[in-house]
Amino acid sequence: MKKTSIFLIITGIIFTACFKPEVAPPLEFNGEANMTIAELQELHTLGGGDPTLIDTNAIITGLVISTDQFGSSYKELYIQDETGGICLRVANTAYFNKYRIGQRIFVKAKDLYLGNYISVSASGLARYGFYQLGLFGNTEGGLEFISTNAEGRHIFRSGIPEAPPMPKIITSTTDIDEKIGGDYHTLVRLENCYFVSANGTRKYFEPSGSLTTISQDVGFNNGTGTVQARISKYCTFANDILPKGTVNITGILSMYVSPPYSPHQLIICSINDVVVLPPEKILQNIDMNTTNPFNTGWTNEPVTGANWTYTQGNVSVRPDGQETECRFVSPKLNFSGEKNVVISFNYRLPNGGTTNNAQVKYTIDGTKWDPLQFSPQTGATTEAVLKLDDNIAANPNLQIAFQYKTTEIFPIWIINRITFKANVL
Amino acid sequence: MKQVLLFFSLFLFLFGYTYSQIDTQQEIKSDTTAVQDTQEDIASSFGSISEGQTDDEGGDTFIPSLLHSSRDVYQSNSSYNFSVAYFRNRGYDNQYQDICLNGFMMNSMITGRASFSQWGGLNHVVRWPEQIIDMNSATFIFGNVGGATNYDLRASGYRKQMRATYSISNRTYMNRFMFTAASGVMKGGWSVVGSASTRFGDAIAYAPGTSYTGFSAFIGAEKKFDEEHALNLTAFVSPTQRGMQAGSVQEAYDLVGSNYYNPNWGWYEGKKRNARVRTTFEPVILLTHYFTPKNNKYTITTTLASTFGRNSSTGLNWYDVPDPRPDYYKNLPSYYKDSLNLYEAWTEAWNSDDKMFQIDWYKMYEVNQTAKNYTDSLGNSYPLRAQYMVENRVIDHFELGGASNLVMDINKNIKLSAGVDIRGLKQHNYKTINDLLGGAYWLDVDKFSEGAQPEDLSVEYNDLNNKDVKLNEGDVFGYDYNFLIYSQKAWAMLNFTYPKIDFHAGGQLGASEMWRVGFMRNGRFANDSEGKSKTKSFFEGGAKAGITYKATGRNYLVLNSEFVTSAPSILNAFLAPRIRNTYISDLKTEKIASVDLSYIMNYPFMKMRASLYFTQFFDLTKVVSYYHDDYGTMVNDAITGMNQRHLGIELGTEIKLSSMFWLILAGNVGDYRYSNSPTVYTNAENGYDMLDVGELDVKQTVYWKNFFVAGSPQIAGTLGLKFNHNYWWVNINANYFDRIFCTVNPDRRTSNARGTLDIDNNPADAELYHQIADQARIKGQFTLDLSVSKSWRIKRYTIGFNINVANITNNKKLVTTAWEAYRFDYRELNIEKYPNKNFYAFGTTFFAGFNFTFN
Repeated sequence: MKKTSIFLIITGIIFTACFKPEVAPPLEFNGEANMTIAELQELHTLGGGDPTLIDTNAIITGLVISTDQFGSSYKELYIQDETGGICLRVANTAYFNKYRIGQRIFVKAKDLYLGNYISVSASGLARYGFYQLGLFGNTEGGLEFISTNAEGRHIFRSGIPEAPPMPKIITSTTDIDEKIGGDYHTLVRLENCYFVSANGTRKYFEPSGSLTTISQDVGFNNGTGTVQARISKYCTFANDILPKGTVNITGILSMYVSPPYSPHQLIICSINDVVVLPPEKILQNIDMNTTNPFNTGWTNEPVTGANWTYTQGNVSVRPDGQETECRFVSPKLNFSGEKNVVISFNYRLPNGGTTNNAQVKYTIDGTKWDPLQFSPQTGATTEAVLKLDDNIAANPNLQIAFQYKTTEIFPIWIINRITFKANVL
Repeated sequence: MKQVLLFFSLFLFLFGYTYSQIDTQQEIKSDTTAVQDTQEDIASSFGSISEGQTDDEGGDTFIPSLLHSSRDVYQSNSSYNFSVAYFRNRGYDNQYQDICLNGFMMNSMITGRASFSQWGGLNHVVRWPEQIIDMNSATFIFGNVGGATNYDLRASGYRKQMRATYSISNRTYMNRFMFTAASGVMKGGWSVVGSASTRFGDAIAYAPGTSYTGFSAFIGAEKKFDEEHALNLTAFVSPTQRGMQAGSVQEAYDLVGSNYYNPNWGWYEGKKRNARVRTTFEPVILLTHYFTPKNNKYTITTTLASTFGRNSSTGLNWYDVPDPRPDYYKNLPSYYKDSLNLYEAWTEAWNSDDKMFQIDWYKMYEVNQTAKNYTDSLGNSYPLRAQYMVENRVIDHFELGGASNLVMDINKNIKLSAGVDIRGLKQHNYKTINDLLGGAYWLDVDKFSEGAQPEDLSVEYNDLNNKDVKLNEGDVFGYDYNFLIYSQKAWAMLNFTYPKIDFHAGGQLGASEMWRVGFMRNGRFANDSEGKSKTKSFFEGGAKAGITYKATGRNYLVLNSEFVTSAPSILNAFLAPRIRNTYISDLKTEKIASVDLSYIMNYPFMKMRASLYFTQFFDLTKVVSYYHDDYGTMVNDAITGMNQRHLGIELGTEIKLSSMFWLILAGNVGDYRYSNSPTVYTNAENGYDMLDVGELDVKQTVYWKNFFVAGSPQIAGTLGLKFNHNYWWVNINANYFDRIFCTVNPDRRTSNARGTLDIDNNPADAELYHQIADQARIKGQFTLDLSVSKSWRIKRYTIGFNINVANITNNKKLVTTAWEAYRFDYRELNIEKYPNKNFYAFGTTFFAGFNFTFN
């Protein structure tokens, strides 16, 4: 009896626990794309003409690269495939919940219009943007927005969001032409640049009459030109202070053809896409004029022939016609937590010799030495800057060595400054 | 004793009580009147409450089982005590319980459910039914899985008497008078019975703005022609008018400070004016012939019946103006929660101004009287176009049918029951303008279709045959159509009785036809709304079998089974019956397969029934309509191929503690779930091809397998003590209800609702998905009830009273019905935007009746 009771109770518990509520699978589009974004774009010529009605059963697909969560890209949904990007004009004023970054969507373009942003000033100056899909019309300079009930007929999500496409790295305006070509409305990252107007008080959005969107120039540190970042009055970071210093900015690159202004524009979706880089930092500096490196842990590791020696102002090795092999070795260098570390040193190698004679190497275990990329220049005193991988720099057993090896008569190698720096781009 | 211990190990927390009627009925026959009054009056008072709480958007209308003079120890101890929580036996919808009057099925041909309000207030005469529990065999009907009940209204069945009852209550109404007179069988073979009652007084202290007025009249006459033939005519009607309560969201309950907040009413000219008033007038006429040959070998009972009349309900309608419902989501402070100032201002307004949380009638009048002019296509301008109004949704029905059944003793062991049932119904559905609220006219356009198809303006009109007509009070508008249904069935059941076993087996064959006839050419479906639809025919059949093993005269083992098929309800057969003739895709006959195993014990010191049951429903259908945020239009969701599984354990026990005291225990532990993932066809009511798929249906799967079927607590128990001595009856019961679930919105269990949330790898997505998809469970609650009744026999008079106090502890947290809104926020996936709604059971209520009978 007791066993029967226990059996019944346990059976009841197990029975109930077995029936877990079902979970709905994610949405999947029932179909496939039959055209790339680039192929779709070929159906319309950018400019001032009417938008083109897509009357064929064109289906494109791409990953979402924009968000309106922070007030940018209002009613403009950008997608990108391997051939390019395009903007969808949607009436949905909070699409970020539905179309998240990395979300694959399929677009049934039939009965939509393919066009571009058009703006004609009072003086007749025409300005054109890049490709848009929407409904016929010209609202705020673009096509009419795809309405809520039409959205379900044209835009379809499929699958769990993926990682967004890797942004193309832009370090100069010439990169844009070389790397982007015509692939606007795609993700880019402008590296090693700065906000031209940043002065510690100016904000992302500085009021200008009745304008609701302004431009903030972004310059490249290498002086190759600027890109205009478009900032909306309504974005969440509009009142944030423009960061000074070097920044990397991820955004959607667009065009705005209106000479003599820059044709390139950048849409910044989120304040998190603006990464302020820390300034360069000197980790160690050995000025041979005042410091004998052999007194600070550096050593000479002789093998044969001449040795590294210190004379005020430099360390050097002079073969004097004998076979020589020796290393000028640093103490253990601990650069943990530092990024973009470089070794910068001034040296002189009189004419003659090959790179095999003068090398800069590193070790992280004290026995195996690997070369850093160093192409010695002969002639006058020269500065070399060698990059250390972040992983290597972070190793607490890191040592650097200047290695000189020759079996011939070879000129002296002189080093008169060694500096380790971080945050060098 | 071992059996007792076994079942107590499973039901440690079940409580119960009973009105034990088996032995005491035999001892105190005349006192059963008082007992029956108590049971039925109280049950009917709860029944009226539940009808008053009906809301179209919410759950189904609950009609509590009337207490029958059932000898089943579980049913008799549970059906009344569980009614406060809207308990349904085995979780079944009421349509699976057959209710008959004189053998004629009274279940609606439209909904499948019997409307007990059709004979409300006739407790004196509609009583003491023959009740067949669950799948046991009946002699008057084949019977569904939920059992069958037949009320015998034969005039000669009422003993000669005159009887009056006055009741006072604070539930549905305050006062009730009932008077009944019966002649008994007189010389010449005539018997006559008449009954009348009135119910009035706005007594629902808990739900303001509600009201109830009802009258009832019953007349029956029987003529026994000879020993073989008798003819009985019964006619009755119970017109009622009720101001309804609506369920609301918890935010509104909290703001108002009451779980009985009713958003349906507002002050107007010094009175509470309710926008939802239901009026019914549905007479029933039964002409029954009884034939028993002189050899008494069989009886044939044949009833011709007709029920007809009107059931209407008012409601607000509006056009191009803000939603007037005070608990509409945009009229609640939570809509402004992103702005602290606005949120606080709205909250303060709700706390201080009743125009915020009740209907502002004056504002609607003001809007109508300052409304802009309407300019027609000819440029004529008409002022005072009404933008708010009260409409009347009318259902006129006429049903005619007949049922005949034979009961024959073939021999001492075998009994044959057989019958036929033929019914036909025409139901006219339409709505009229009830009150223009100061406006001059109403234009019949569909506000959800305006602008939907700019290239085709005709979609805006509900009646293309009467476009731009300025309608006045009493005019028909919106929709106008008939439902027609014919049904015919034949059944037979054989009962075998032997010393050690009884068994029965039977079958049923039948067919139903249904169709729609539209009287308006709706602009959205101009070619598919006016005229006759296609006719749908359904084959219906069934088989029933059971066996009882009589181990001893006190111990029985019973196994029953049933398989039955039936046509779907016509309400779930058409996609949008108000405006088009199209049936839903993939419409199928519904099927039910059920089995139960019971152990019954009957000792002088103890009676018990313990049952295991399992029922599987197949191919159910359901149609719901709502505004779809993602598609931006009104849609109809037709769910087909829906399966449900109901299983559980029932226990009813009466233990005699002494000659006066009985301990009662009854309870049910059930598990009612959806057992598959059916298909839902979503269709825009404006005829728009929402997904550009080349067809109007958007087909999806509803992933709700193993979700709970709501509508009844799945655990219910009662523990009670009954005292019975010298015509005193005192019962006290502690009740517990649990596993109460919220009715789920199928749309929230589709891939469309989940979207592309990554629930496996993203904790935030997983949490959001569970907010969307998890089914809410309501917390279990206790209640305590007390009943006292006493009767005195003084010469030819019987005087008695019964007093019932329900929910003595004033528990106001018992949720009786809860449902998710069908509207879902697809943009932000915020389920709090359209939160759940629920109804609460009333706190402490009482019902007191005083009876006077003489014969």
